[in-house]
Amino acid sequence: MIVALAAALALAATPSDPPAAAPTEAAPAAAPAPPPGPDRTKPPAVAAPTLRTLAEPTVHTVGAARVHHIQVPDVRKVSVILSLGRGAVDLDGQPREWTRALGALWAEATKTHPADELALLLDLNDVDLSTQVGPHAGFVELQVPKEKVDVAFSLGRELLTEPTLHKKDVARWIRDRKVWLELNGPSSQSAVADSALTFAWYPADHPYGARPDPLAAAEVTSKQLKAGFASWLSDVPVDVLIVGDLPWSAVEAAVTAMVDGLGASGERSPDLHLTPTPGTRVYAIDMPGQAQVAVRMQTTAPWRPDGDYPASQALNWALGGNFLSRLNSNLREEKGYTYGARSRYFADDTRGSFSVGVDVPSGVLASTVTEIDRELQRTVDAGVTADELDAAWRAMAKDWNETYADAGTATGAYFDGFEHRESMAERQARLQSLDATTPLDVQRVAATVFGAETPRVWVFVGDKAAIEAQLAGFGWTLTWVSPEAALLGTF
Amino acid sequence: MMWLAVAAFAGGPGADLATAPTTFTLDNGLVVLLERVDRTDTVALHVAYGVGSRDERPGEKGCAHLFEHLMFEGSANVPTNQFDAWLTAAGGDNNAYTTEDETAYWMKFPSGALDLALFLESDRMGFLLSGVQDENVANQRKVVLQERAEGYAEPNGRDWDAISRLLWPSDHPYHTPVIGTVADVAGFTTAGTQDFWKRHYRSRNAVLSVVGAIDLAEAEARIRHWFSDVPDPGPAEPRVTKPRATPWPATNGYLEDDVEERTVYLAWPTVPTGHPDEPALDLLSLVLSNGRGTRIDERLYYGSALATSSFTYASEMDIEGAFLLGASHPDTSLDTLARILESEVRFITQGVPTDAELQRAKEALRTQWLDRLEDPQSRAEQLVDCYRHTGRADCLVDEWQRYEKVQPADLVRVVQTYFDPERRVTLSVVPRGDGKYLLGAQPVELP
Repeated sequence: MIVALAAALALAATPSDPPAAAPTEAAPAAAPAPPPGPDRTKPPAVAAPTLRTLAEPTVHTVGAARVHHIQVPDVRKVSVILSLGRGAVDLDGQPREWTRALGALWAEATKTHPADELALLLDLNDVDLSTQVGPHAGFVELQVPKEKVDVAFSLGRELLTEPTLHKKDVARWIRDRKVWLELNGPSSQSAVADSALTFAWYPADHPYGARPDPLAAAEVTSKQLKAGFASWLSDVPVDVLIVGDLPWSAVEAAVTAMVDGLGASGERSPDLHLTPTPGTRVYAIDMPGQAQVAVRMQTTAPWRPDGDYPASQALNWALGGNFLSRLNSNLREEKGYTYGARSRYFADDTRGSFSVGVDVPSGVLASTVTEIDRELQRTVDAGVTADELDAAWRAMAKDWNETYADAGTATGAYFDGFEHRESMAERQARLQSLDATTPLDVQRVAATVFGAETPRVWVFVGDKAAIEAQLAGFGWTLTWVSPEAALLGTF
Repeated sequence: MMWLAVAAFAGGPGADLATAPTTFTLDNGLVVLLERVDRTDTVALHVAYGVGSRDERPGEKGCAHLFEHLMFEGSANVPTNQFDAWLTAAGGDNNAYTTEDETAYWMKFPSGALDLALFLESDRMGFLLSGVQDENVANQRKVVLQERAEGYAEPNGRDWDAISRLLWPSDHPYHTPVIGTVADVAGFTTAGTQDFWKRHYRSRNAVLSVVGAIDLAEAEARIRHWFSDVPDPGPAEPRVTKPRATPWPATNGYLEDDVEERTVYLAWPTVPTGHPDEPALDLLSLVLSNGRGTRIDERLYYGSALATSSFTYASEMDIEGAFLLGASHPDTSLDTLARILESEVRFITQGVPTDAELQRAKEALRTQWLDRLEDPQSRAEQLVDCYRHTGRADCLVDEWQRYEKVQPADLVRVVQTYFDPERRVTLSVVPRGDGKYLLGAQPVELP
């Protein structure tokens, strides 16, 4: 614009300028007109996204194990994930302190590599290693540069066959667990809020709501972990997922050696159902002196296999799943109450939940709750807009198209498919269906998720003196809980 | 700390990531770095301005960070709130951050949205002022104050800001935390923030990178097109570039917090980014504390129950840097923790690190860099940071050599050079009413 304006001024000035001296030579040719500047009157158009087709893993039977292999071109690292198809529920009815300890200590040392040597081996070979024991399966995940993939396979074998679970490490785990449960956990507002929400949602006798048990934690022994591990490995289906830029021929021999003699027939035990407690329940946790209030809310939502899963994803995206979401726009951008408000939609094969989280100053708690309710009701009354739906689709398409950014993103996508027994084609088709989801579909889901009859839990963590009167205005029956009880789920 | 970029190590794994980008400079002074990555169908854009909290004048502490918020509120051709709305509608996302030395903005978007992204970025680079309106400034003041309050509400959420106030004297550009002071943030005016933009937000004070699913020639043409009308008002306001001229005394402060454990920090001022001793300090940090088998972690955590956590941190910034050690425990006295931490640093000069210790540290650091160079978004950031510190577009190619050539004796030398007892800064963080901070500690105020 500046260039164009200067040219116009020059032209306008020419007629009134004094005549120049007669040239003795021919005047130089006029300079070519500069290219036009950018058109800033409207945003440039953006083409609709196209989903990239992602290759399917191939499944190989190696002894009694199933190996899922996918070659992802041009990524630096390779992930090797060992999945043991029995978990804490199979081992002891539900997650216990000893299964938590096993998950944490499993990868500390092996007979071949004592702890110090193992730590050195991991660093020198750029190995990322993690283990966990979940409700229905246990996992070892190793990520290494592809040139060092043999280190991953050999370590995987060691961890399956010879973890040492040393007394000294168990004692350290007990100390750390005690400090968290008794000291640092109860003093963290966010940890207290998140624990209270989880334990309010899942009854104590449900495996997914297994409470921490400080007494049992203090009594975990190395002998107990070794016996539990031996029992576990004696009869467990083994799956391996390999993601990286290596062909099957380059890993077949090493993976065969890794799982030699391991694995049992059968499938992982099925996920469990939960019948949420009806009605609205409200828990408040007193943390004297806190200037902030942590607000959490959760309701039930469609499961992953449900046809409403894409619409639920869109509802979450519009309500609190991006910076411009309704909750963040309202509570942050319009009112300045918070640094960020968000929602989360969680769904697997047997359960689904929708949650909201925000931290605000104590003085605006009542207004915050009112605004959250208002935003939820707006989705019930009118769903979301076509523009919001389109943006949700484009954002999720972008994420899908980033799957091969590195080994980590690729592994995330393929592990998700592995966990839910879905092919990439099925996942792509479901994502594509989001493009055809209508605002009415989302409104129908919102009416269910946020309807008055849907089970709902609210959690507030703050200074009782500052928030009690505000909460009274909503007419709820409040249950006051201590931070310690919230963290342990003993309420 | 090295700007988390990586390196050529003569044919070793990952060497192909240490490449030089295509680069050019526009007539308005904007430096542009381009790289094509075909693994995804997305594009990452990163632009950093040479303005941070160190550039704030008295009375405008926190303005650099507040301005980071205002850059999303609209510009001459982008109505209020439409920056995010348009990019989000295209499937993109974005964010920003502010440090003592720079303010950086990033976007990630489908390749089909390149023109939109360049339009948005160029509009706020050249024509922001009409978007800086009273309503936007007032709201973002509240958001920033709430950001500060939420961070400070978490246990140990104030520690780093307190250390900054102890490390850097009151006349030092790093003395005030990036988030600013409550009084200054609450008092920002529209005119004041507009003035801040005029002084610092200039095309000559910015570096732009675009990495991802792009055709290099076409991307260059589109960048030249969209930034062609961004004015060139000349260089930005001169920056404070020199550290204080005189030594400073040891300082000893404490914070009371809603915590159950006591924590002690020891810190020493060190060197700026790019200094020859930067690699040795970064590697020293990992030799001392990086998990099992490293010196401090073994002494305090794995080998004893004296601490529930221990840590080190080497931080190099544009003017100077700092080296931190710390440990926490509910019962162990802070004096004991401080004594052991310091003794482990001093012991470096007697128990010289072995080649194996040093090699382990190098591998740990190198893999972090490689990971960051592989992801297109963080690669775009590394390209800009590396250029900003060296003035060279190909700086990644030989950066690792600085680290590879560090020897055990270099770690001894940096301990002898920088860990002067007379310059030690300590911070005790204790439960409210506990009183068991280090002897002589004074309360640290965070205004």
